[in-house]
Amino acid sequence: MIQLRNVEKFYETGAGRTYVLRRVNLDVREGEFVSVMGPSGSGKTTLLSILGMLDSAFGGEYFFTDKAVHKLSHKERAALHKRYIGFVFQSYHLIDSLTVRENLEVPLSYRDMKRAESEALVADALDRFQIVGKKDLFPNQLSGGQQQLVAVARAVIHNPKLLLADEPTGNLHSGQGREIMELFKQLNDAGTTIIQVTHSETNASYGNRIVQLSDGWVVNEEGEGAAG
Amino acid sequence: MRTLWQDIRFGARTLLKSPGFTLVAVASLAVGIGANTTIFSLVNAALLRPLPLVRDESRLVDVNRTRPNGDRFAQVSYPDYLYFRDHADVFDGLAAYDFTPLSLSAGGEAERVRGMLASANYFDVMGVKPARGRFLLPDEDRAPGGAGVAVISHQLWQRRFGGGEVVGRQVSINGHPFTVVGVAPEGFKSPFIYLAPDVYLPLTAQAQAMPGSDLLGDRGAGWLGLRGRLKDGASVEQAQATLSVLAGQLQTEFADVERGQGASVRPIGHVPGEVRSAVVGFMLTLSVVVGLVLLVACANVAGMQLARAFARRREVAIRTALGATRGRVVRQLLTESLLLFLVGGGLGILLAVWMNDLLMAFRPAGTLAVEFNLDVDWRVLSFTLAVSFLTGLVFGLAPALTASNPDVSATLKDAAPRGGGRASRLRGAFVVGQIAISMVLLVAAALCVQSLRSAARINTGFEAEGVYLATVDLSLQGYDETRGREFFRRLKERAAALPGIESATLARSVPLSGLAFGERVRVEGHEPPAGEPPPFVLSNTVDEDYLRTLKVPLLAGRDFRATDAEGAPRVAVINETMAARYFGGREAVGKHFTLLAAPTLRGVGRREDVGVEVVGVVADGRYYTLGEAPQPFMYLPLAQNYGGMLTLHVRAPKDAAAPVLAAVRREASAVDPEVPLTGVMPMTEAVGFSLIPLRLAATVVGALGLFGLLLAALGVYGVVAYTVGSRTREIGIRVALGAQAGDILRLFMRHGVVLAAVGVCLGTAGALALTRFLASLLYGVSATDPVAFAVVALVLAAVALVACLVPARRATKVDPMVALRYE
Ligand SMILES: Nc1ncnc2c1ncn2[C@@H]1O[C@H](COP(=O)(O)OP(=O)(O)OP(=O)(O)O)[C@@H](O)[C@H]1O
Ligand SMILES: [Mg+2]
Repeated sequence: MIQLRNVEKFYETGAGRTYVLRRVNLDVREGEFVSVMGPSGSGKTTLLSILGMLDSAFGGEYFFTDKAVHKLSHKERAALHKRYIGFVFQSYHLIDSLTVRENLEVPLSYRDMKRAESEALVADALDRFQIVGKKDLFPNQLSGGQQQLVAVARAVIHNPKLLLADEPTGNLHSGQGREIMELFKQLNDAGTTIIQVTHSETNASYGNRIVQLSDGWVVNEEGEGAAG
Repeated sequence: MRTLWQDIRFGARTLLKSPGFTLVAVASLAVGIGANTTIFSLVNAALLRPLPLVRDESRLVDVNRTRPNGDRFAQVSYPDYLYFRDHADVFDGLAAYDFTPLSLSAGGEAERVRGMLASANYFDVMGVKPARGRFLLPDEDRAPGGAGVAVISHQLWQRRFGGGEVVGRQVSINGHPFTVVGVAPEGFKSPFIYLAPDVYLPLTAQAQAMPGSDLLGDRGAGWLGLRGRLKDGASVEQAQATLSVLAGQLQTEFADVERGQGASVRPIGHVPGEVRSAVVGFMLTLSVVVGLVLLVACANVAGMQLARAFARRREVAIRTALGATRGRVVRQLLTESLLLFLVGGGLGILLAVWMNDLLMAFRPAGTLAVEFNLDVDWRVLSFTLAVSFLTGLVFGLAPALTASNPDVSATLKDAAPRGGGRASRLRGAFVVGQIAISMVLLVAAALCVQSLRSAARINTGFEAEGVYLATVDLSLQGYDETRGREFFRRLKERAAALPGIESATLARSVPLSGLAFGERVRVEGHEPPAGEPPPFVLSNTVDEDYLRTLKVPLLAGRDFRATDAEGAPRVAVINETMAARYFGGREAVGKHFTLLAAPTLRGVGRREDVGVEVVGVVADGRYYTLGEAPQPFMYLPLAQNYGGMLTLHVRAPKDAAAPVLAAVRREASAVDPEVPLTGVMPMTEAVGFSLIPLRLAATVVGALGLFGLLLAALGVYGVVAYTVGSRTREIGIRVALGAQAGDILRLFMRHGVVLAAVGVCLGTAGALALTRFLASLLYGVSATDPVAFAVVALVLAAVALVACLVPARRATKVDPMVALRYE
């Protein structure tokens, strides 16, 4: 599904180029559940953004379902993104001026969905994530963990083929974190390809593969993960 | 004081830090305030400014007669004036005056000048001193013919006599010799600030100044304006009481002419009493229009400040955390706003000075010329200062209060989550207001422009292009009819003989030039119902070749010819409407009607009934205004109806204006150098006279409307751009959640489109309510013309759309990574 070939990413800074990703080669097959790990600042979020087609300023080649993403126009890339990808941000990025329910509706509103269907999906998500009671609150009226739950719910609500999650449990109680991981596992079993960034070995153990990043280099790629 | 200075310094620094905002704001305010300053200078000049040089004008009063018909501003006859002057003990002096055109020659070409007949005490009463020589002496005011003395204006002295020695100089006025005895001081006007005579003659020179009439002995003829200076201690009420008593005495003594006539005394005003309410109304309308523009400008600036205030919550929060009270913060922000408005006001004054010069260019020239002093004086300055200060305060307050709200972010998040809350709703309201006001102004301008276009299409019934005019008034020159006829015959002959001239003719008036004559007629079988006057028909007295020169189509019968001479049977050519109304159409040729005798005024008028035969029928035309309905009109032959003031019409090649006019001038002065020519101009210009108000309205309102449109566009742009800016992060999130460029565009366009739609709706309602005040100016277009409304609405909508599109497109270009990184 995903092939990265010599992907590089740098920023022009006063001192010249600062490389954030260096010659990253990565293959992810459909149905995989990959965990990306590494120290802070090693380029995990950057990698995820490139995979999520939110960042197009990179060097190298990126093939997604055989399409050469690095050659696509802005418009084509946006269309591809819309069709396949769900994204959980490290810092949640809920829309402050919308309620929880409205935040959940946003991805659906961009996907030509009938009103009834979209309402049913939102109700279902509220229920599954146990945030029904919070549906009319605004993000700033939620705790950090609750916001993270909403962000995850929003990323999966339209049932994306590829779920990219940047530390989806960073602010959650370990019990809640486990529930999210269980949910990811179920989604993965149902066919969703998942790439998550995590600092937790436990979370990584839900996946079947770990990619280690250090200073922008993929230092070690483990095969089929230890635990199932 | 020290903190105020700090506030000012800090405010100036903040403004300089965002030069784009400051520039747009100051420019908007400069135009808005400048437009208001211009109109105020007009109000100031017409209504407020004191008469220059006049001593203690609070002691001056105007005296008029009151008539049984309700007229309260009637002029006074000479004998009555003398009676008032000699018997009213409340005045230090009571002066009389009348304006009258004069023909002046002092060697070289004669010219028509603005003259005034004045009583000898006129200058005393006004309280001015001569610049040269002396003013009139009481004796000269009694001697018949005004003792042959004249006073001239400073301006004429400089212009005509080069400022050289002029006292004692002989001049010829209306062909009579006068000696210049003095020069009035520079800048001295008259009882009216916008009229300044060039030549002053004693009242007793009336017969010379107005040949053909003798008003001095006529108690029934009111022609004088009276202005008195109250004695110390005398009040206007006392003067009124005294004059009423004197008027009563006149009534008893001269019952036949004085019946029902009283006297009215009131403090002086610049505008003659009878037109004052019209002038005030006109000024008020103008003030409202420019007031609206200022409102648009202020709303725009306030909107921009509001956006900045919102963005400056952080700065305010820090200040508050450092111990600033809310009042202190508001004051800081208000100071900034005031600074902005005062700088705008300062530039506005400069702009006004420039616009005043422009306005002066629109004022009619020639004998109708009015003098306006539109200089910026302390009144104008204080007005502008007050306007700038007040608008700065009022429109700075909302942004200041919003920014200083200590928990503004909390309010925004909890109470008004959608659309950004109170501040942005307020901004939206400002923008809606701007669009609505621009719509009103633009609709008004569009109606004027449409009128001008339909005016150009109107078939006037004659062809003005290629015709050149020169008017000669022999009546001032003391020509009798025989000499006058000879003069005009030779003038016409010489003009016709000029190379390139196709034809030449003479006529008493020029159609559509603001001057028209007419008489009452009697037509057999068309007697008016009892008690009603016979029909009044507009007419022109014309020479042979008139119809040919102006290309007026002859439909039946014949044009005038040489045989229609003085002793021959009286004839007339009438237009289609008159023929249809009274004579059953073209069979009118050969029918008869009667021109009725009319009371003579200043020696002009038909003394006895005259029967005439219709010899021709011509096509209808427009005679007085372009917008008039077809009306009866008749041409009378010049040979049978002499007048001392005639206009030479010559037809020449279309582009020959300058040489033709110069040649006509030369020929006229070859016939008699003492005779002044007036109104030497292409006929198209004379005909355009009736369009001047429309042109002025179209120009002024159009300019203001375009400016309003620009401001409204800036307003829409500002609101949408600001929304885009403050929602960058949200855009990033939405893109990450699958929003396509079109989705983002729609999101932000919707905001602007709603604002524009509401604005256009309100503007349409406003325009429907207001444009009917324009109706009297319009030709061939209704004040609610759907085309004008639709076009303006579309233009506004299009401009508003573009104004949203620019920032909305920028929103689609937002890079989600950058947007989301930036916390
Ligand atoms: N706009 C930028 N300009 C320069 N450097 C940048 C920019 N954005 C990110 N970086 C750098 O890129 C590197 C990788 O950042 P990234 O967010 O991918 O790290 P991360 O692995 O996700 O870290 P964390 O675990 O803390 O989230 C960092 O060193 C960061 O400083
Ligand atoms: Mg990260």
